[in-house]
Amino acid sequence: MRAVRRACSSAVSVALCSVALCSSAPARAEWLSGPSRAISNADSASPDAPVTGYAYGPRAQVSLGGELALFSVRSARSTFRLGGSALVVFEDAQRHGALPTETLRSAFELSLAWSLTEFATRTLGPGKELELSLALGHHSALPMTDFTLGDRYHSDDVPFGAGGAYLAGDAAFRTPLGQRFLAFSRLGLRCYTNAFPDLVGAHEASDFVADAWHEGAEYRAFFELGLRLRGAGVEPLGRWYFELIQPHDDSAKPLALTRLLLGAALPGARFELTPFTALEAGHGAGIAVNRTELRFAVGVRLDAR
Amino acid sequence: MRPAAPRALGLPCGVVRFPWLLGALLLGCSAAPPAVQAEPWPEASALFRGDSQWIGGDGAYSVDLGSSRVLWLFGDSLIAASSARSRSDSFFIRNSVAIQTGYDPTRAFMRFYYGMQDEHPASFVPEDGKFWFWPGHGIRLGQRLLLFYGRVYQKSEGMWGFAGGDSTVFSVTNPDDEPSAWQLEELRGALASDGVELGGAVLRLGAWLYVYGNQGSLHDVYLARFDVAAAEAGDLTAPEWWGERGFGSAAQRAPVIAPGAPEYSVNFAAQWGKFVFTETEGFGPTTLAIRTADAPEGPWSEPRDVLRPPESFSADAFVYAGKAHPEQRGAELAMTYVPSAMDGVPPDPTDDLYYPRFVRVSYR
Repeated sequence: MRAVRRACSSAVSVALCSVALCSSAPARAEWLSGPSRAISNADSASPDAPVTGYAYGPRAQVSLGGELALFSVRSARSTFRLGGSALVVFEDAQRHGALPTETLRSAFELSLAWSLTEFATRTLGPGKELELSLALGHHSALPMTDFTLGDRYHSDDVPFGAGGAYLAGDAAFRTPLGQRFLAFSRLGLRCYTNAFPDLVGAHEASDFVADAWHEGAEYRAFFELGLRLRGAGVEPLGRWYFELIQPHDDSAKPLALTRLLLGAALPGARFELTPFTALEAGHGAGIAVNRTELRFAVGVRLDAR
Repeated sequence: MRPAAPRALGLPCGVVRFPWLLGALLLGCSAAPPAVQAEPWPEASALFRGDSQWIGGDGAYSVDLGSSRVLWLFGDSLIAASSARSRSDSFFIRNSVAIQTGYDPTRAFMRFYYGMQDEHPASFVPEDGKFWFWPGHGIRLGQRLLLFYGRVYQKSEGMWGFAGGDSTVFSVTNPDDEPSAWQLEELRGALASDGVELGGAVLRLGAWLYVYGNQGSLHDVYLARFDVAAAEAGDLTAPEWWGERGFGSAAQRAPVIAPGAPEYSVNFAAQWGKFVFTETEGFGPTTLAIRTADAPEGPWSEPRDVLRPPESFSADAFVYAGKAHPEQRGAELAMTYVPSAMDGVPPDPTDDLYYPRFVRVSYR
């Protein structure tokens, strides 16, 4: 608890100092200024990455998603972005058809991202980027039409697709590697609403919130790495994502997922097309979150640039 | 149905349940009771499904009567009006009882009892004017069976419009007979409850009868103890209440668990050497949870979920009335809960909801 408090007070101190630094430099405000983060969430191998795409393996998945900075304030020292992302994913949990019809997953986020341009350059080196973000979000999982998941009940299952409303924080770092490679990493934590009463020992209130708002998870921690070859017409890329879900119920099992995505980005003027293959192991998505599978998929993503 | 009022978001002091380091991997843990394994026990749940007319009820308190007989006490119950066993063609009564013969619920025989009035099923403990009686726990002391009931009335309209009046105790002096032949007598004025709804759980330890009860919108749990000899004589007028200075007068009483639970059980688990408080934790799609303590007055641990029932994976579920039944055999500890739906109307006909469900718990 003491470590948590110390970390929180340090974070607040850093934030205030940086805002002060930022305020002394001339700033420029912009509306609708591209992605919601300098180090985009769309570059992730996460199943919740806000991208539009299609994938198959072993079942079909169609996603419609994107992110946008609603408002940004840019100075020589840093950039603030207030933005959001949205994702709707249609998936099959049992069928093997070409178009998914069984389940629906959605994820929405409102985020405040703070790109520490000068600090990163000064302390980490030229070309390096560091971004801290806070987000309010909600993700949910539903069956479509009258579909019911036929999976057997287990007493340690996580309910409600491990979804719910959350406050998330993450730190992302991006750096050039040599002349042609660009690497990034991101470490983040989502705290679901029911986690906050628990942090102050109000377990009854936490249970009440989890039940009333249908939250199966209490925390979700994630880490990812990415590498991309730049400059060629086709830009090969690799991304690795790992997450752990701490369920709210004491009786439920923690869940883990890892996903490796290999692809080749085809940058265009306004969009980027990325055919990819993905190998995924761990918990399933949405209402199939309690399923543990090894999945291999091929697909294509379309990102706005 | 015996809906539990939602618990408000109280902020009691306590240790942090998940001692996380921000940005680190998950290191969550609970300082709660030892872990147990729990699973639904459908073979035992069938015990509640075999009657031709009793087609659902909640509460589900159990009292060991000895000689392989277990008394079950139910709250709101549905009695079929025809052989169709349809809930849309049934009588709704405020309480009923059953006698289980044999301690293994997978092989036991169950017979249900309720009253009759004007040739229609009626509550086993009949209404008293505007008041009806919802059961609490009970205990057999020699030849006297003491049954605690809550005196309840409809304060406002709707499913949640009920209000607790007071608790009362009924005495049965011929508990070896069939419930239909019981000499059931309300011991008016014999229970000094001091505003606490006594009877949530009853436990005999040596010369003392420990009786738990609730008070307040957060269902704070209080503990009173009575002299067993006096209780056996039907006298519950001299409670000693647990408080900051130990057991003493009502003026110094303090809750043993706050916030508490509207329904629960307390038993001693010899395997752990601890007392176990069983409840449904949360509101709506709840979990079965336990707390443990070294003494009946506590200090009680934080609750630990032992099972999320299958019904609680539905967002509109209403799962409640979690209790343990230590007299049952075939499991290291048997528990029950009652699944219903949030709209408050048990689905029809003969839907799977609103029958108590057994859970089999293994210590590990």
